[in-house]
Amino acid sequence: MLFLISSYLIFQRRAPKGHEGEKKNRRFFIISVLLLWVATDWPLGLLGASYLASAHMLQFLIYTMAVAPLFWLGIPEWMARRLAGRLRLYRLMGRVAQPVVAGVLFNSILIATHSPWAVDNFRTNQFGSFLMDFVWLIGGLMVWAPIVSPITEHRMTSYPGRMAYLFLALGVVPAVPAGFLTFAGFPLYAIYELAPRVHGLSATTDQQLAGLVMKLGGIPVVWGTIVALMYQWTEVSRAESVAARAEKNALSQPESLDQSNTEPDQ
Amino acid sequence: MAADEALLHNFSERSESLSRPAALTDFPVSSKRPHGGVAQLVERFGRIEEARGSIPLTSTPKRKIVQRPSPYRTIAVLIVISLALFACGVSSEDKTYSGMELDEPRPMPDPILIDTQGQRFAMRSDTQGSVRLVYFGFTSCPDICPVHLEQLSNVLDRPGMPPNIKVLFVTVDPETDTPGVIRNFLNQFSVDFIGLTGSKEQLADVQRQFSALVALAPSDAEGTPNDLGHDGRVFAFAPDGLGRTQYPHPTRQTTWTRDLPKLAALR
Repeated sequence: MLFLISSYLIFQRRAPKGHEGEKKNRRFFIISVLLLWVATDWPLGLLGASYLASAHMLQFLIYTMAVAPLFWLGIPEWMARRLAGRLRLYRLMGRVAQPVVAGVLFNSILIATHSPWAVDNFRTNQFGSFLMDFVWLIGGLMVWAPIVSPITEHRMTSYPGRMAYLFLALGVVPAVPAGFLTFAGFPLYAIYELAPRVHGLSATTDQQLAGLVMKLGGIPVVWGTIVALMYQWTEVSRAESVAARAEKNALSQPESLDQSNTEPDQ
Repeated sequence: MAADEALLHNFSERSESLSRPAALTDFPVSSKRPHGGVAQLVERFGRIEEARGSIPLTSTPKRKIVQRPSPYRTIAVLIVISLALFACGVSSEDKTYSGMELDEPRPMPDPILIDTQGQRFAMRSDTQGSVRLVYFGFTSCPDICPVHLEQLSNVLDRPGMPPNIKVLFVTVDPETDTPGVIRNFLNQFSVDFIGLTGSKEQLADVQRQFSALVALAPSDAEGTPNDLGHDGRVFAFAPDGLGRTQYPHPTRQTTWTRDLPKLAALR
């Protein structure tokens, strides 16, 4: 975490002129790294890796709904362009940021990493656990790229499109595995079913809680963003209509002036 | 051989004159007169095609054409893999029981121990007509015992489970596990679970009768006793008094749910 923050700060020192004081970005980045730490380290990391399906789901939620968007918001555009250029990721990022590709890939990751087979095999060892966390983070970055990518041309332009994308990619599809978890008759994951109980929480109740976290946990983020986008849209439309009216007035005024000037001559 | 070459020679000449368009008649196909051979025929045809424009006239370096897979195909493959992984959780086997089946059914022993009320309790005679799930453990066990008992408690609480199932918890640590301690421990899972104790020798003998590994507290180099090591299996006996399956740690709830109704029906 320290490495991430220190490299960010060092990189920011090399900002081009006029981009030095991006305090807002810095704040977002540091919050995202801190959240990454919370999700990875003790106690949530340990509980999610070995004991509770609900903790596992909370980790997933933090990675994809908080760390990923804040990470994007924390990176200024010049930095993103420079990094994408140096790492030769620009084209790949552009392709992955296409809404259909991003939505489908994210939801494939979601379904694959929550399948009983994947959880029972990857969560039992440290490397598998790390891999799963990493894939979640990448999935989160992918799904948020069309909305908040620092590279402007990778973002979706239409407001209704962005809202529809958020609703479909982050609101609808995750409800399917969440439903499986909530309404399954038996614990789906052996690793959590056979772990010593934490605070007397039974395996089935824990799984139902995990389903609820998956289903409801993302709602404030998704709907909060949709509301913010809607507000932004109305503001932009209002500004556009004001500008259009002003332009119209500006165009019509000289004509009327001309008319008033010509009238006496007639 | 010579006849074949002559035939090809004629064919090449004919095909050239037929396929060469009027505008291309003066195109220098070859400085020499063709003298036959399949290779030459191909070469000539290629040149004509070049002249027509279907093949580039200038010789360009050979480029390897890499056909990139469509992103939609990749996505479709990913979806299929994801669904397959999700479906991996569900599998079916053609065994009678999901637990560890024994080669030969074994009759249940009938030792007499002390229950949590302080009364004599005959393990087989006092549980006639029920499925008996016998487990040897101790109340301060940190992992296996609570998990087994929690699993059984959850499974037995399920609707549709047969009522004639008795869980017999036999302590392997009689010094610590008094009847009261056992009762308090079992009540965390179910008030219906039966707790049993006895003397150390008696309990070791009962474990042998059930073919369980006798619990031991191995000491380290300094002579300090470590945690008790004990058999993690649940020994299942049907109402007919025969044991056909055993359930090691870990046993999943789906396994219990599949097997217990079958065992309960064996009267």
